[in-house]
Amino acid sequence: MLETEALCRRFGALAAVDGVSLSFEAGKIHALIGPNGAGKSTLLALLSGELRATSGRVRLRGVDVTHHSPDRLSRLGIGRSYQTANVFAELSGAECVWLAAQSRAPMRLLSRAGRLPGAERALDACGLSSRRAIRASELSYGEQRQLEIAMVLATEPSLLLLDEPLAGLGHDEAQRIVALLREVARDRTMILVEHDMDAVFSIADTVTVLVGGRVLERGTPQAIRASRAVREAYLGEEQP
Amino acid sequence: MIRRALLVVLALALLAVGFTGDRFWLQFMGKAMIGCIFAMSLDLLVGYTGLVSLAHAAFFGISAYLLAGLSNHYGLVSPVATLPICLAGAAFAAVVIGWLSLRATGVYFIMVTLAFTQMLYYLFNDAPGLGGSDGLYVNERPFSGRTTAYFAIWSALVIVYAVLLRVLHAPFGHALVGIRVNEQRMRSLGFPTPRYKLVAFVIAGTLAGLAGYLDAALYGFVNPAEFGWRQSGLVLMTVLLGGKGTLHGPILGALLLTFVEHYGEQFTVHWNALIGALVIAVVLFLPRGLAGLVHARD
Repeated sequence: MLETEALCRRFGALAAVDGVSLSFEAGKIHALIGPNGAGKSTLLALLSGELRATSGRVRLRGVDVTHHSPDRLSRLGIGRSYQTANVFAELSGAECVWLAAQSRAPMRLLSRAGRLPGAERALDACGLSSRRAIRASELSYGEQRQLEIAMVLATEPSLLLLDEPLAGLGHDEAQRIVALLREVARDRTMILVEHDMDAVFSIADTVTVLVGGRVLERGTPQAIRASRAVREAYLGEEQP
Repeated sequence: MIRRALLVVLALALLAVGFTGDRFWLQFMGKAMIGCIFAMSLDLLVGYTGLVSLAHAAFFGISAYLLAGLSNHYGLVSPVATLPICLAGAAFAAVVIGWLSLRATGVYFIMVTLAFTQMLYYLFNDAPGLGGSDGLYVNERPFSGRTTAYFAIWSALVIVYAVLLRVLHAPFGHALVGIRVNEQRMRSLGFPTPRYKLVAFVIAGTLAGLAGYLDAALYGFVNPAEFGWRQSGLVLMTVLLGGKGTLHGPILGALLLTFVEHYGEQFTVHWNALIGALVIAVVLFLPRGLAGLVHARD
């Protein structure tokens, strides 16, 4: 589905992503974990076109997309969410999702929008149908995260890049989002950056550990849990 | 509801002025309505798209000079012939200036647009063939008589308001607001935001060209000051005074500024300071501009 080849991104002397070569298989949930500053979010930004790679390649279904813009990648099927809820505060939930769905329609200067079944489906899938009329800023933080995912789903992506979707959520809200992610991933590929290890090990098919911008280890959740190198470099911090 | 009613009353009052036949009021309110069109067109960029452009006077001036050129050199006078040519000229300039300046963002965008408008100012100011610093008379005007010109301006104002209202309620308008609020998010959702911004820039530039055309048609005179940074700054101030991000705000701002400019001039030679004080007062006490007063009661 998506491959990186010796992908690098430097900020001056700092190599935030340093020669990362990975392959993300279609239809699976891939988690990226690692300590703060490991380069996880930078890698997501490179995959979504928000940052330009210093060197290396990104291929989507075999096509080189290294220098594609974020909007072009989005139209090729890559959907992206951010570390903090990135919704349009002034709009209602339905309007946010409707706006996102408009990105797939041709530019309409004068005519009103037609029906957007994709937007309705996305609202339903994220459990927000009953909250559709509430302004985004008035939704709870957990609901705003759901709304953000609904906005991405409205663009009908085949690959989702999610940056810490559980950040800032309480236990119950996090459980709700995890269930939502499982549901959403049924017919999509997902690359997930997340610090909540319980959530990661419960939903991911493969886990990649990044440290200092490089791949330290990659494998199934069980293999990563058992890895001494990973425990020493990352998980050990949480399991003294 | 109150806002709509007030706008209808205002439109009818402006229409009624046309039937007075009074030379002063026709010219005075004609100028005010041209200011409304000019300010509404800039608000599409400033208030809705989040682009603070100082190139807006350029499109006003290009269209006005084109009318003078067509009338003086080619004998083309009829609005049917001259209006499309002048608007096309303004639109073409907006494509070129927009395409180049939209590569910059933030304060750099402001500076690039200012540079364009100043370049055009000096080009027209220093070229004797274009009238130089004295400007040019429009030998024959497109509208026969002040009253006809007044009704043409009134019709243009109503049409521009209706078209912009439609654009802003269409998916394109919603996308512009999304771009202003969070352009990064809009791009990641798949919106080609540079294209959207350029289209908005060209629509705004074309409407500014319409204001310039009507101004030249009303006064029968064009001069390089129409390109200057002062003109761009004044229309920006109009938008801020009236309330950016609304269509009625720039209308209120333009009407207020026209009155303050005229009556302030009679009151004191330092009338510019009055406008400055007004801007400071509005920014401090009415952050949503005069439109905020209407919203508060709506």
